[in-house]
Amino acid sequence: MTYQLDPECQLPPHLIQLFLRSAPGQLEQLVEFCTALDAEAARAQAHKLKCGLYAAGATRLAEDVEALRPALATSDWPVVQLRLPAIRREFAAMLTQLQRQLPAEGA
Amino acid sequence: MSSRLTQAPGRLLIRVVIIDDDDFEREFLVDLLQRAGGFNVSSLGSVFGLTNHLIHERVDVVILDVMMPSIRGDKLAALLRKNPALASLGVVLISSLPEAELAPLMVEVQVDAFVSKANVRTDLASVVRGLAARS
Repeated sequence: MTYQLDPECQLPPHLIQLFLRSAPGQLEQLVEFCTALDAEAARAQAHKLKCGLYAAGATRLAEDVEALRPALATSDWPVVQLRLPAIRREFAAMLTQLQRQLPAEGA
Repeated sequence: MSSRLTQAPGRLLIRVVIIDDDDFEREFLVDLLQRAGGFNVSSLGSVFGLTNHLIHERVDVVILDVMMPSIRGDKLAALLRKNPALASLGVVLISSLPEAELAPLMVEVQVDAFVSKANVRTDLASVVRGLAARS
């Protein structure tokens, strides 16, 4: 699976590294809040994750995370649980693309 | 707090402060304005010391994230608006909340502008320049 980042939103290496350090933990926290059926915390976490995704040029993924909001607002957990695996897969593919944008070590 | 000049000394720079609790988002916005040029950008991860900083550094425009854990950006904007020492300060809210949720906030707290996080790359620098020119 290859993720297509917005070519006009290329980040400098130091921001890619900062994103790679912070975003995976944010997604995992979102999954944890969803597993715990904590709708308020999950909405806040989805919002935080989405902001970073926009900045990283992962617009489609940001929109997928945004699409969780109505289900979270109504605690429609089956829908949330249905969508999370696809988001995780896309997220992993997006991270791989971002890592490829980093200059090779020692270069 | 980070503070970096964006152009050679002697040129008129717009003094901007970015308030965002998220390290990546904050650094991203600092980088964005620095690349745009014409800004003296500083940033804070929390609101502690903000008013002092705004007054003593004679900041032109403050950019506030809406969703922050200690205080929401719109509530903070309302507090800043009540301070007569900050009468000329431009206030910009940024958020990825849907516009339907943000429109009432903007009216309520009388901020000067709102920029969606989906559009910061294209809109933020020009919005800040517009506010600085007005003041």
